[in-house]
Amino acid sequence: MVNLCPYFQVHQPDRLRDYKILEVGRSPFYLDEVANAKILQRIASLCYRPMTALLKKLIDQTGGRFKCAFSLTGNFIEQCERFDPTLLDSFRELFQTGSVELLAETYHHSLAFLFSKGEWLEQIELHKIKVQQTFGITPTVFRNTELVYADWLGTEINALGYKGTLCEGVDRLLEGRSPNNLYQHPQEQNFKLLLRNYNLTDDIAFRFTDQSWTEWPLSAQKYQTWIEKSAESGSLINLFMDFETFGEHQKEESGIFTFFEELVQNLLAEGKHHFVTPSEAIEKLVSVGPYSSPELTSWADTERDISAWKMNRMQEDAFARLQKLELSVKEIGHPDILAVWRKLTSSDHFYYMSTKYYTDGDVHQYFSPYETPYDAYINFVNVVTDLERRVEEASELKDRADRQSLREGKMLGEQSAI
Amino acid sequence: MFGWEFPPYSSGGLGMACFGIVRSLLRSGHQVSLVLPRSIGKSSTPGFSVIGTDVWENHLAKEEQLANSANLQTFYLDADLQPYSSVTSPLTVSVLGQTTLNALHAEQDQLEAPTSNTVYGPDLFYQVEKYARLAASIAATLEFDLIHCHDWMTFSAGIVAKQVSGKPLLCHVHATEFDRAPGHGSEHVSRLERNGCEVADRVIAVSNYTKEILAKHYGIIKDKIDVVHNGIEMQAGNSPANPLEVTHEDPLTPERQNPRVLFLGRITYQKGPNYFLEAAHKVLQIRPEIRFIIAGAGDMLEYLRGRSHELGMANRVKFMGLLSEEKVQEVYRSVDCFVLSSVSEPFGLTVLEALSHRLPVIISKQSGVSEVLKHVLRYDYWDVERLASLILSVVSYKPLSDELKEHAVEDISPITWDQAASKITDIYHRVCQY
Repeated sequence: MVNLCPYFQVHQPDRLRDYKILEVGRSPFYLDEVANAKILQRIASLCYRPMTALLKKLIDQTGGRFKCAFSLTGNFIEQCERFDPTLLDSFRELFQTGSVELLAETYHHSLAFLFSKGEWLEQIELHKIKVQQTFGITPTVFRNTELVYADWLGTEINALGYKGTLCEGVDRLLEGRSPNNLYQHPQEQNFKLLLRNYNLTDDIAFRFTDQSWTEWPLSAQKYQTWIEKSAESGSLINLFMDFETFGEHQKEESGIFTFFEELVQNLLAEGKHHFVTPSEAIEKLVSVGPYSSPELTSWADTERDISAWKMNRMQEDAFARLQKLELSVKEIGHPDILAVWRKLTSSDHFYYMSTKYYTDGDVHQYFSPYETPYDAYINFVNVVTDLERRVEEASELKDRADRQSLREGKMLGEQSAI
Repeated sequence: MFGWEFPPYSSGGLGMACFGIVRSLLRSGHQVSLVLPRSIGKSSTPGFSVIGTDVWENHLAKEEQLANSANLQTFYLDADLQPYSSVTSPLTVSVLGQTTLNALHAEQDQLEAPTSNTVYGPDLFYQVEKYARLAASIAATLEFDLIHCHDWMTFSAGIVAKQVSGKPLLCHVHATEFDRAPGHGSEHVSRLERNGCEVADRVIAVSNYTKEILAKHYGIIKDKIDVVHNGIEMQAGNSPANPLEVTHEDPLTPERQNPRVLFLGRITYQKGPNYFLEAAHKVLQIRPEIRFIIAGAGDMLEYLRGRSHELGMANRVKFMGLLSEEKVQEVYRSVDCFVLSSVSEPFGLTVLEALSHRLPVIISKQSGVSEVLKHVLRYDYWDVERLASLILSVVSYKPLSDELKEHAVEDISPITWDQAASKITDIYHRVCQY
């Protein structure tokens, strides 16, 4: 028997427009809303709409026995509100079936914990409020941006009251153990960990359309035998991937939709196998022991670390600049400035700046709206430089206003004293 | 091999490219007879001989035996340029061209010292015709397997040599008239270029960019064109162990703290120096302390000087004129950013040189070199605003220039002349099987 736990990440970054250094100090508009709208609408028709419809169909057909989990970033929900409000209904319908769990994460798909724990916690809270308002759901299981995880992050998430988190099944930390079991935090024993089976996930997410792959084309039957083989080492198989895998990364012509449909139907046909949501897995299964991650791990690249976002000088500088701004951005209390600063914390901006593997041309470039990592950095820093100026100006104004009100307050006090 | 430029008679990339190709061909065991429009000196290196058509002409006049090679001018190459044993069987190539004394260390029995460095005189078409006429007797005298000629000046010679010998002809295109004078070039030159490519058994283009031009403007079928990118020979002095801790010596001005941006190339429309100057103007409005260096000579020099005055930036733009090879290296070492602003650049060897000095480089997309580089900043040649922005970014954002410097050598290390020669060798073997 296999418990299959599919989880889909839904995110769209707020892409920056081509912001030239010559514009610094002249324009406070940073986003490429034309591109953002266009891309959202394109992926909505390629992936979001057809795939949510397929999942809904599968849930209905199987009487709710097909189950899965989702996480939607605040950026994505906001973009739907701005460009395609009815798209949220497709997800809402899924959540209303009771077979789909919605997970918690940071509002801005950010790696804020790398420079500010306070900001990271605020973004988790903001996300929680947003999904409550939008879907009326309060998530109980957490997933961090890009599945970044470490023991200390687990402790923090546990303290927020979540039952568990998703993370990567990293070979060097598993030390020969199978990712196909429920694990727990080494100290926080009630805090459970669901580990991604990256082999079985990447067969779908990366290799499905790779014609040089010896297993191409992959059929649902063949994949089912792999699942069953893999389940010999444990009963929980976690397939965590970008939702855009279906129809966007792997196009419809590749047969990805049919593959998924057949897979679900076949797996459930004999009554041997089950689909579970992360919450159900945590309730239903017994943890086989602690999984400890002293270092930061993620689901990215072959290193499964955070080097895709924070490795070269440009990325370090970009983080440092955001960090330096945090205090004043929050002090001046200007909602627009705070909102735009938070958008800049999205991990995507840092990913675009990665020079790792850039020489060979790779997956980083697939996702990037920029020609080179250097252009990504230049554009980002141009925007941050402009923001720095605005923050400085706003701080001065606020200081002046504070001094003014202090003076007035004093005068008032003096008057009342008289 | 038929060539026109060869160091020291070089006015640009063509001579450097010929030199790089010949040296690597010799290393891989080929024998090269290089025919140039003017002799350089006498010496001899195994596998390599240089024939100046001017001397050849004298011989003809004296009715001496054509095959009397004792009277031909030849070169000694460095001892370390002994032919390497080659996996494939070496071929003899006939090349016609001109040669670099200092680079080749020709030292023995110099017959006549060069009197001027002009490669392209006012009587260029006459020279080209004369060169082609003499090619017939040279081709009838020498033994070789194939003919390899470089650019339009030598194409007629190559065609004649092919007719006389019946050997296969390779036309190597380093630049086209469409690069040199977009839309208003010489019809005669275009005709020679097209004719050469049509008659040739195979055409070699220095980039896909140039291949597209040949296909589009001359109707040469793409299957006939092979792309062989130029290369660069890394010099030990150019690759400091830690590029970021290099202290730049300053040959130019004492105010070293001012960031400097370099343009190096012919001051002609093709190289886009005017766009560079307009971008400089925009940059200076934001960062007046930046300095711009324009190195090279050409027909737009006076215009540029005037424009620079007009824009009130004459004290911030330095025109350095034509520089010696040594001075060029010095300039590379003393600047912070290199710009290739070409309107149409078949390849762009200077970019590789700049990268070998670990300089951040900004290049126009209308260039062949753009195809082989990743760690550079690109813009469309007409987009002055973007060029200005990129210059400002490079000099303002240290993490950016540090990353670019770090990856510069990574980018050029696979781009060598040996790599180019190995591709050319493959083409030689293919044409010889026809």
